[in-house]
Amino acid sequence: MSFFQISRDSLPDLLAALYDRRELFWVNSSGEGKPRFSRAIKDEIPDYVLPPYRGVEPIKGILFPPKQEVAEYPEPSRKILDIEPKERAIFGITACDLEGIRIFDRVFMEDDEFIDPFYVANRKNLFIVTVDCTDIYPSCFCSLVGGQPFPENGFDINLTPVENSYLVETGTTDGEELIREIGAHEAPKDLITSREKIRKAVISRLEKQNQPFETPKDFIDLVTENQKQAKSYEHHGSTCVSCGACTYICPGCFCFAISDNPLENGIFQRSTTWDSCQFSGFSRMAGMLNPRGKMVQRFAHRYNHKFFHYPWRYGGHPACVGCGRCIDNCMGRIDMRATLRDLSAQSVSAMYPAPSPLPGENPTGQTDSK
Amino acid sequence: MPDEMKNIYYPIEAEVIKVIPETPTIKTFRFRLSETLSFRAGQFVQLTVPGIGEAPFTPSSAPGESKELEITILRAGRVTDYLHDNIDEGSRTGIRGPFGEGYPTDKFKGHTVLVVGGGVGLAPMRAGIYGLFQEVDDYKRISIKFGARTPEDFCFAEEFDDWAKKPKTDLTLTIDKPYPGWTGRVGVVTVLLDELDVDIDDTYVISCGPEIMLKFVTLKLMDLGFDPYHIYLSMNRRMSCGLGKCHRCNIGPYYICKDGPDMCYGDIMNYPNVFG
Repeated sequence: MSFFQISRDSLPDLLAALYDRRELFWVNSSGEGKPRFSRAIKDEIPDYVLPPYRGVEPIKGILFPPKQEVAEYPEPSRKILDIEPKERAIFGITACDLEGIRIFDRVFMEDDEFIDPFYVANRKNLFIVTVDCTDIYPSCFCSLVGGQPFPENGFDINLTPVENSYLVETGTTDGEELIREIGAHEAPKDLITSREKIRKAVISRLEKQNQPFETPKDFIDLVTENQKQAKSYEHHGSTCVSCGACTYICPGCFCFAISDNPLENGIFQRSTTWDSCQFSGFSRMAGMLNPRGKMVQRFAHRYNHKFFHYPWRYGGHPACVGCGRCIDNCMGRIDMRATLRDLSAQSVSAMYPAPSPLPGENPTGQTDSK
Repeated sequence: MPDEMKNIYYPIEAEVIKVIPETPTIKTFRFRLSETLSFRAGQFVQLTVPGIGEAPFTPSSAPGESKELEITILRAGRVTDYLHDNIDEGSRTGIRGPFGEGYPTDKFKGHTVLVVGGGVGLAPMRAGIYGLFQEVDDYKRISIKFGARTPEDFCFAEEFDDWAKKPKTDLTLTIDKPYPGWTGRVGVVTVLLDELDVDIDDTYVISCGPEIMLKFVTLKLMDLGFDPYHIYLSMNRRMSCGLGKCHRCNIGPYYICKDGPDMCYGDIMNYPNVFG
């Protein structure tokens, strides 16, 4: 780990260097509105703006595509796949999305028994450029789930806007080589001190924002201990319509379905596709038996997976990074933080009010009887 | 080739070489595999019906290593209906697996094993029973209790006499309602548990059947004083990947596909929706 300083003007050089040697994706704040995740466009490199907070979309699609072809059968040559690792880079992701990648790594790449070769091909050589959060959304809550608004490891390069330049921290030799190539010089000590101040300021804003949701126990303990008390789930899930938006937009949701489609000559193509535990058919069996046929069961299941099942299996890490995308994208206005906080509430009267649907909208889709 | 490059989604080829009708709604399919497959009692496979889909089944043939495998299948949904209607000798299918932990047979050794099965639940139990017979010297006693709707609904009935003659083994049958010509026990399988003559503290139970049967068998066993950690239930859940990843088959933190499909009741009893 080394520290460098680059000028604001040299950001396009860094992007161009990556663009030349890799398939580049970025989270870009150049347009109007919030930062967006997309494939990098060469002509837009000079206008690229580093995002102050996470992008609208999670970046999981480049590692685990919405639809991934995984086999053609019966065709023995497709059994063992010599998949070339993809030479890709992702630029401008925040600490929460980096933690999202770690959530996927544990499942698809670090499992003791089954490793997903398609994930490995996408992940293995991924070059990661992260950025400190310098601003926060009202929905951001990484500090409540053990995270912080800046990454400490797992990146090749991390950028922090400090004064009129960027403080660069390198996490790998690849990162260091690249940063030297564009003419970076070693960072003066006071720049690192300034970074600490910036980081502390963002943390304190986050903590202040999330102070109403703080609980004496952490969320993992709360969810784990509340296996059969669904009051908070019923209360806060009352406006859920099982649309699945929270799962598709979540950087920590990885559930999938396997499906087969016929090609020509008796060959079938097998694919994995994103699925959602919020759909009623997700766990439905033959004979229409369904252990999670009720919406509230599926609603609770999502919390249980993130704060009980996943950490139970994967070393205590929750499958939630606190990015708040599920809050921003919920048409039922459900706030995950409130649901979690109220797990410890003794009665409904001690809970946050149940969410109300957006004005002028009706989440059940039924016409108003008035 | 490093391990990580094995394609975990690819099914090996499985040609159907025999179809044996067991009951009006149950058939046993025998498959010849393109490569050897080795499974332990209680493990399951994902059967691919090309273009239709995958469904999980525990083989009904003896555990161990083989290029042949039998699966006994009840007509119950889209994939199984297709199997019954369209798959015959010569059909090409696919198999992934084996998956799951299987029975912790080491734990059972030195003790009595009580086998409680209902309906098509007898099919995966047969693999378990063959497994027990392979090492019969290691067990104190094997007590088998089977129930079915009618005498016609017992699969493998032609093998029952042989099983009952095995050393240390007893077999009792019951049917749900009186039936012409049936002189045996009548009532659901739990009636056979009312007259258990095993040493409860020294007995492990394995059970497989419809969810409603598992529920009442478990309640009865608990009433009788069984330790929930001595009860292993073949849990019904939708399993897709078989790899412990897609997260649709869980009970509490356990994946039925990876940690089961036979789950220790003591491990799962405090989680929601164990019996649906």
